[in-house]
Amino acid sequence: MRIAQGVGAIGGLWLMGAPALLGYTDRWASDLHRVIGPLIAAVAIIALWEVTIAVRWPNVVLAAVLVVAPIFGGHPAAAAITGVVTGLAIAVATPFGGCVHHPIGGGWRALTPHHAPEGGST
Amino acid sequence: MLGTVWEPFFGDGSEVILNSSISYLLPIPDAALGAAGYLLDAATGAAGGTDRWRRMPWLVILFGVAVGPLGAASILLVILQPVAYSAFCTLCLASAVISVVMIGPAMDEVLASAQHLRRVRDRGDSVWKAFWGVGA
Repeated sequence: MRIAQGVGAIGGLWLMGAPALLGYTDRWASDLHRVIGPLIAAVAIIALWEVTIAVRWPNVVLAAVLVVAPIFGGHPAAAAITGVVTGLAIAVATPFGGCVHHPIGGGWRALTPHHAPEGGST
Repeated sequence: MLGTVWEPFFGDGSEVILNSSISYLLPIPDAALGAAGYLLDAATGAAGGTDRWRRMPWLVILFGVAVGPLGAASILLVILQPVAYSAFCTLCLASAVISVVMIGPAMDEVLASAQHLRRVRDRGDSVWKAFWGVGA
């Protein structure tokens, strides 16, 4: 199950639309959500595929920014709640991004110096 | 080329974006640059057949390089639309989704080519020749 990717994609899209839908016009909060929202959604979509599944982890950092940002002010209540709730949901969901059952030829790790690639036809 | 733009959701958002200063930042319109990018994606994605990861690694790597920056540029434009112009453009968003969706499927082929080149190197053969598909 790609729970992390689903929550990330929906959460990112929600952040993009939330300033307009909830009516918070504060520049700092709305811009923050409109910058981080597309990044989170894009990371989640890219991580849908097995070969790029590890790409989902930066969303933990982006989610942390959402949760912490209201502490520094400039967030009306609606923006603060949106940021904290969405950020927590994404952070909690990120570990549940699914497993890599059959990494192609040993996956990206096979490219590292001390890890020989698995067989495969050449 | 066209007098109007289709915009079902965001009012005059598409016109605002398409006539914004960012659209004219480069000597050629960014829409033309995007079209050229998609053409490169289509050409490098379609050519070479299913075993091109080992026959033509250069093409696969070029495909990966073309898909990555196009996706990154699309994300940047999606961020700039509301932040700089307080507007969204439906077709730009659709284009960005397509660009981002292409990245994952492109990377498995890039990985296969990279692993192929790694095996060539481990065998002591020429990575340069393998990259260009010489003798494959």
